[in-house]
Amino acid sequence: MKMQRLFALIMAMLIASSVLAGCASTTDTKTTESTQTQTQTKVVLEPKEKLPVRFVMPGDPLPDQELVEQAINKKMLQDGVNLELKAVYVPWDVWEQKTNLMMNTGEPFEILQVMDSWISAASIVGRGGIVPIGAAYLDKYGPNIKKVVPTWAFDAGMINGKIYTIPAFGIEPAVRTGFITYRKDLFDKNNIAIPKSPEELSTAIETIIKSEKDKKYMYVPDDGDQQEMLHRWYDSFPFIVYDQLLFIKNDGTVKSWVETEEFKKDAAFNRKLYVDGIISPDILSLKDDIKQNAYKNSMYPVDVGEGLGWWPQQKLNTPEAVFEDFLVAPEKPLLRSEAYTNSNAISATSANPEAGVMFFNWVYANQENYDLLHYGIKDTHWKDLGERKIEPINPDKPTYSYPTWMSENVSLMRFSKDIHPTLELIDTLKFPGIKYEDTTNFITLGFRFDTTPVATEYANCMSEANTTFRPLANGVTDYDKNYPKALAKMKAAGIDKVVAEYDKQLKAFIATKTK
Amino acid sequence: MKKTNIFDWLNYGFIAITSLLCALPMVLMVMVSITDERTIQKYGYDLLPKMYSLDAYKRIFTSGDMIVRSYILTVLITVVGTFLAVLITAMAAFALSNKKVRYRNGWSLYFFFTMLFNGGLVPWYLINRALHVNDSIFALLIPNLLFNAFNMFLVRNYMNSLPDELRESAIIDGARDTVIAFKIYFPLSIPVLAAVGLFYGMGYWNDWWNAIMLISDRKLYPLQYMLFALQSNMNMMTDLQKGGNMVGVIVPQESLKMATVVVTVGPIIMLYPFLQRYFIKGLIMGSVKG
Amino acid sequence: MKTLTQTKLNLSGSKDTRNKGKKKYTLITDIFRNPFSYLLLLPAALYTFIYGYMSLPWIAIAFQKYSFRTGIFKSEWVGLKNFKFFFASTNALTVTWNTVYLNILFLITGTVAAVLIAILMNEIKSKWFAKVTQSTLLFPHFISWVVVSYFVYLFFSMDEGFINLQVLKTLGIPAVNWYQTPLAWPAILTFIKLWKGTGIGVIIYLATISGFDSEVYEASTIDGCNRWMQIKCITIPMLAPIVTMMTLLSIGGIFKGDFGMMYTIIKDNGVLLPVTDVIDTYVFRALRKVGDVSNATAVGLYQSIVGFAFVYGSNWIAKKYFSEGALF
Repeated sequence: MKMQRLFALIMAMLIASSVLAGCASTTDTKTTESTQTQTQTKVVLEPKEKLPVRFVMPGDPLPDQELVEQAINKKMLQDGVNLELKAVYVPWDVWEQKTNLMMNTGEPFEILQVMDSWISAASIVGRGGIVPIGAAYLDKYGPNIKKVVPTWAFDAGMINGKIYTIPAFGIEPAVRTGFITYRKDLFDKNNIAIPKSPEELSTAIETIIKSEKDKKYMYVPDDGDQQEMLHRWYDSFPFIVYDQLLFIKNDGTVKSWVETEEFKKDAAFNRKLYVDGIISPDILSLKDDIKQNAYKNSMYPVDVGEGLGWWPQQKLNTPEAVFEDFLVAPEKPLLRSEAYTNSNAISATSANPEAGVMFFNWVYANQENYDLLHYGIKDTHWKDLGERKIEPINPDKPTYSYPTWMSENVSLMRFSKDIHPTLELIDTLKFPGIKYEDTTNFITLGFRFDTTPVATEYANCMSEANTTFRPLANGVTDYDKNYPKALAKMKAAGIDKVVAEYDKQLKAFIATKTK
Repeated sequence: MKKTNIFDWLNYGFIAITSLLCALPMVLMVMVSITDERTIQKYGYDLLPKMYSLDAYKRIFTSGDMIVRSYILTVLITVVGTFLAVLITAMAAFALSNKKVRYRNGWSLYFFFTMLFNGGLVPWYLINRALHVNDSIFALLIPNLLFNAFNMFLVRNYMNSLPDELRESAIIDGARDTVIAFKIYFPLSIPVLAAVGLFYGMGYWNDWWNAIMLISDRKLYPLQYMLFALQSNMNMMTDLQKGGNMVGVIVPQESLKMATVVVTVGPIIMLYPFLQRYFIKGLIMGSVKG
Repeated sequence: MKTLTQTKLNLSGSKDTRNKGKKKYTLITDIFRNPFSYLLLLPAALYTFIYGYMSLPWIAIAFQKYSFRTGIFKSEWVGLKNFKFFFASTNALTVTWNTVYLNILFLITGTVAAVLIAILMNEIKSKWFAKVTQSTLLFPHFISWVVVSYFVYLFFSMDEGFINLQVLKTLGIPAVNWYQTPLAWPAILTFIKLWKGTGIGVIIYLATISGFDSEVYEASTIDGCNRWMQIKCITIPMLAPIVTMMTLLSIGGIFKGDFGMMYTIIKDNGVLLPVTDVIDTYVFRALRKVGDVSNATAVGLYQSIVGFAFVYGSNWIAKKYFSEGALF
């Protein structure tokens, strides 16, 4: 027995050391290699050689990807832009792992798509994955980008006082929240007016679902969006909820979200619907497909967020359904709590960081370039219907499909011919009865919470928010009965430390801003 | 042999019910795969759908010659890979079951250790790059799949249970270990090698990870990856472009999900009955001894 | 190649000094005595060395504040700090307990079911029946957890689930809200795991049984043994070594939760999590937003070390009392 243990131990040690030695040398050669190529490209590329633009984006390439890529490269050549685009697709399922791997192993590429709501730009910066772009770079290589993306959006995305990302500045962020989509035909049928308070909304949902019992209409509350629809009605608005953990008011007050009255009101709203049998008892484990099928078949009385986005499908499945939108508490100003959700950043592994900026400079230079990247070749992949509307050719066949949200821009984007008219009004800021000029920038706009000082507490609180408080928020469990125990767990996870840290960082941020 | 009695009836009944439990979901999947997409969206999964459609299969087999190509590639990889894997495994297992090898327990520990401890994805990727397997057909063949300590232990245990006299008599005849392995032990171990071969085969057949991580050349995509890509493109068409760009078409998303499983499971399930003739009790042992 | 032989050389050298010449038999001696056996071992050993041992230095990031730019050689060492996030949490004990408890449940039921079905299948004389049933047992293995989770939902959903709508209603029992009944889930999960995993076990045991000497069975029949006694006195004892070894192998993973299974079936259902949250799902949930590789590696290392200790201990016991089943 002893012999064996010794054997294992020594074996492991020796191997580890020999491997360390081996690996050390390989990494060394690798870095020298890359610096070599760096100097090489720097020297050689100056006169004529094209700079590579390897664009890492999620998804799988469609058959016509190469065709469009060639067209883009040809157009860039014509325009005298010395770049060569190469899209690098990373499948969704392994996006996190593979991009991590590429950054980790020094795989050279220029542009990384950053989805802030999933893996934040700040965390990629923290791990050393992307490099700052800087104002000078932007002035030199990206004048067109600055034309279509407002300075405040760049500022809002700053990390540690530096610009890292080129925002996909699409629809005005202020109109992305606050609207509720409702089935107008069902509201009319039941003589229900547009709700003016959470109570009225609750009654409307309940009346409609109960009146059409055999139809199985659904109301699916969920964290995030679904709760937000109530918030504009509350007196304390404007405020935001961050990661289901923190409650921040526009005057800079930071509180633990689950300890607020607002959380209690949300929970009570859902609890009533749950007890009355409106919210599915399986809500906590509900499958996404079931939710989606409900949307595709217009099986919901109200919804926020994506509601009208499903319209093209709904029109086919349920032509009788009529959808409209209303703004919650229209007398209150629109709130801009974030500038954008997606952006593109320059990889730290790139030998020519300017190439990425130059590429987007080309894309945003004119409508033609923008169209080519976002929608493919005109008259091969899409038809221009005028008034910024397009119609895809062969819509049921996957030919070319660039995820437009990755780099969309409000002044250049086009709309599908199937877009719901109301959605178009909202997106183009023409929805009636809104005082757009009153739109407020929320206090946290441009602020990034760095969780590192409270990483342990933060991770544990996140876990509690998902496990202990989710049933409460969705009305599955009774608030009064379960709250004390749940709160004790949240306290034990260290929520107070997280709140204090956020408060500290936000105060520091406000101080620098007012300076 | 005795006549069938009550025990046999109960036994047959029990096994029949068990396999029915396993088969039913598969039947449901086949049915969903031939259901019209809109019917699924409206009524959910159904064993007897209201409307049938072969749309999903059409999508799979008309997505260019790529599917056929990757099918052939996958068959090739599976056959070659499984053969090599079984060979390497059997060889190692033989050495570890050889009682003359005094360090065999130490070596067993050597293999077992890596089953629990591993450095993760990054070193794995670097090692593959150092070996130059990425972006070649070897990326589908070598990483992860070529050798599995679990399978090796299975074979080793089986060989351990073979009577020692087999080896001893051969040694007296002056045979080398390699000869004993290939001439005596491997033929005798066919049942376990068949089982292990099946496991390796399933591994190769089902693999998409290696392709995703190590291959960028579309010509080298195996079947599973092609189906995976096809599916995610369908999802993209409906989900990603929601916003203002969604198009009014119904794509066979859910039926496709099921059809891909049916397409991939089919062949390997067909293979099993052929392997099965090696699982007949006592056949091999008797023949060698006799 | 070179490193491997070097390693062995060094190994035997250092061993000699430790044992102070008590035993002259070293690894080198072993190789020289059995050159052909070692030749056969070489490919597998090399493969394991390259893909297994060469990756081990990366475990170091469990003790670092890891950054892409600095890599594992220059990242800052932080000691045991990365382990803190897990062990300082109030849930560390619960999720560890759940992981072990569920895994033991899976292990015992899985082994019993696989052995039982293998033995019963072995008693089946109709060849086509055996072929068909054995093939179908493998079906569930091919269905991904995502699809499985959908089937589970079809079964246990409150309003439309098969169990509530068909089974309980027919029996006159009021519907049960399964997704809010934590007590039922260890059993449900065990059943799902059995359904999905037993096929593989059955094949292993069937293959083993088919290697048994048929003469033993024939002799016992002559001695007047009935089938039940044959199963009890011949088949089961002969299966014991492989069962023991398979168990030992599973014990190594006893601290690792099946993430694919747990996460797709349970999702973030807070009502069920007190009994179904395992280490892997807990860590995923906690680090989902933060995305810290060092923390995740630290927890993985904890799982491996404890698992290894358990295997080592059980192997020691197995060796003492039942050496044929020992792993090493």
